[in-house]
Amino acid sequence: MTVKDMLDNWKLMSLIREFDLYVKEFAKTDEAVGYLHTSIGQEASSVGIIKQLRADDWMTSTYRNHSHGVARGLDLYKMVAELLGKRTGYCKGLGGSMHIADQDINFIGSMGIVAGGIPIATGAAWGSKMKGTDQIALCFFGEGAIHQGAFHEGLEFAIKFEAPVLFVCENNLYAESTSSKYHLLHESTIGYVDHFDIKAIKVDGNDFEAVEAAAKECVSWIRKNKKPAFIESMTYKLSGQYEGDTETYKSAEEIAYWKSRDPLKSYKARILEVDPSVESQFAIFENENRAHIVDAFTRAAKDPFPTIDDMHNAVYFEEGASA
Amino acid sequence: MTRQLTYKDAVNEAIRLEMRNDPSVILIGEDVAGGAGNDHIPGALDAWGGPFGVTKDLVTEFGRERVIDSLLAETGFIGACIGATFAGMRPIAEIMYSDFIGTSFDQILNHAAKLRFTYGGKVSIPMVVRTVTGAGFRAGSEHSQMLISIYSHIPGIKVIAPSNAYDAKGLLISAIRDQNPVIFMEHKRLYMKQSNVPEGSYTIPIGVGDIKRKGKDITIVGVQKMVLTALDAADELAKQGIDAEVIDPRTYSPIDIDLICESVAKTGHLLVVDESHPRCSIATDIAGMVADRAFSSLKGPIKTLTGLHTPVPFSPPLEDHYLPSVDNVIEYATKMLKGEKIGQRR
Repeated sequence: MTVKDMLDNWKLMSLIREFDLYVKEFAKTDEAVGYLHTSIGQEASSVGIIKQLRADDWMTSTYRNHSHGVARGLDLYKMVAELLGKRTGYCKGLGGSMHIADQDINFIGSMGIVAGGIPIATGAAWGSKMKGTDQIALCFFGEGAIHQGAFHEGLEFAIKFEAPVLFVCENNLYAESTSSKYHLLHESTIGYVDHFDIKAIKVDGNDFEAVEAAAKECVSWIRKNKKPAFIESMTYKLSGQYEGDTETYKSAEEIAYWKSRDPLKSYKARILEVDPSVESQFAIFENENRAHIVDAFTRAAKDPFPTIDDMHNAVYFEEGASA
Repeated sequence: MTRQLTYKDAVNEAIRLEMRNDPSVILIGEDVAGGAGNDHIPGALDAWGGPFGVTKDLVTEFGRERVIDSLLAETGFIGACIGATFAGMRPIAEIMYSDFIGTSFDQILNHAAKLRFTYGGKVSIPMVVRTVTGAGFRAGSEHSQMLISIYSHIPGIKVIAPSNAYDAKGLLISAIRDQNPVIFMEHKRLYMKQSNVPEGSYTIPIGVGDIKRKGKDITIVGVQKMVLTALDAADELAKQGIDAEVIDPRTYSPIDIDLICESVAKTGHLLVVDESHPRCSIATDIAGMVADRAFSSLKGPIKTLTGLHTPVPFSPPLEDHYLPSVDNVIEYATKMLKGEKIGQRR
């Protein structure tokens, strides 16, 4: 890993951070529509894992998908257009922020139902296996999803039918407003999977290098063994469940602790340990990133909304009809 | 060549032909082959072919790689089928009984039905969910439901419920070739009924109903097995000088409402016979659409003849009472034409 690679990773993490910081402010304005879920604090987890995918691998996300989308290289302008319900968005404005995805790059979908994407990602990996390709699927979900039957059924399916899936539980300590101290019945989500003969790693999700190492290990293990693996990425959302959440359920001490463990700060410190001369780069990256985001919002704001025909044409596939 | 074939064998043949035709077609479900895990025992492979033997002998032709005994976990395998379509597969999933769909409903309601729409029409989910419907089998409240109206309520999926072997084969081939998720409902009490079925492939378009008996006095729409009940009743009504037209919509989403409205324009009377529960049913849906679109054609009130607002009872006399009978249809049709009041069935 060269310093340049490290700076690239940090820049991508910063792009997610700046995107969601902008969304957070935007959410307070009258122009904002719909539910918005930011991933502030979870950037290292998203980038560290997604960067280990091959270009043709499958991925599913959840309604907390901005970090996954940006990390997977989605176009900011098309993301913003979707967030605004515009025709130029990834889903033609029919999906909204919660469903930003790009099937053209095998990013199957961002599911609004907790654990909904787990069997689907599993199926994509299983389908690829039947087709004889060696694509794997990456499936993100939060620790709240661990209780869903869809998680257990998807995991069992992947194990039974040897579907090459990387299940990534981003444990951000809260299922909506409910603390994982209350809702997890094991000390860690690893406890829900360690009775299976699969690779399962718990990792500090705010430590970019640790996430990267764990994801690399799992991805190569999956490709070699053609079986699923599981990562619990311990992280924390420095924002609420959704924009507008008052977050009265979090203690000041807890927030202060996790702010001190901000993944961008710690990775920046790590890069500076390797090469102190790049200090001036970080502010430049932040400014560049912010400019891209402002540009995306400015352009998308001028775009048209989808038409009534767009809506009707998207319900069913019809031979000869254009979507 | 046309020969007599049972409904069950027609379904089997449709799957077999499409699996031969397209290597990306697979079949997965609980015991669709049967005996998995015991292939060292001679009787294990192809032990069941599903609980009704509908998919018998498919595993012997296509192997366990393409005829897959799932875990008893519908969310898992229905979701996996959705995902597999992205990789280019065309899965046929079997939900053993329509009633079991509840355990996988999120995958159907929120994912299979909505993925295309939510992502702006970019993708399609070519998969079929086959399932077994219907009462009258002494199977109790959790193995006897229809639920057609629940599926038909949801935009993004197609719903098919054929009433005979010929339609079953042609519609199932259409369903497997369709680019959309399709729920294909097979009535357990129709499985052994025979009709003329051509060999080889043929398709019946989804969304086109069929007039099973031409008539001029009253339109009777039957839903799946109730088509047979309506036809039996029509034979009796003919003896009384009443010439009933019997329509089988065959597919419920999309539904050929124009065919029904055209018939009502001719007869002026509509009776819908559906063994499902009466409320929010396909019967009330059809009645509502005809009232909405063709009220001026009507010479009298539309009537629905349905099952009851109770779960399907087990006790045989009660289950028989629950289901609309040939006598019920005759009574309704004759009273409708005489303008007589019909008491509420209970």
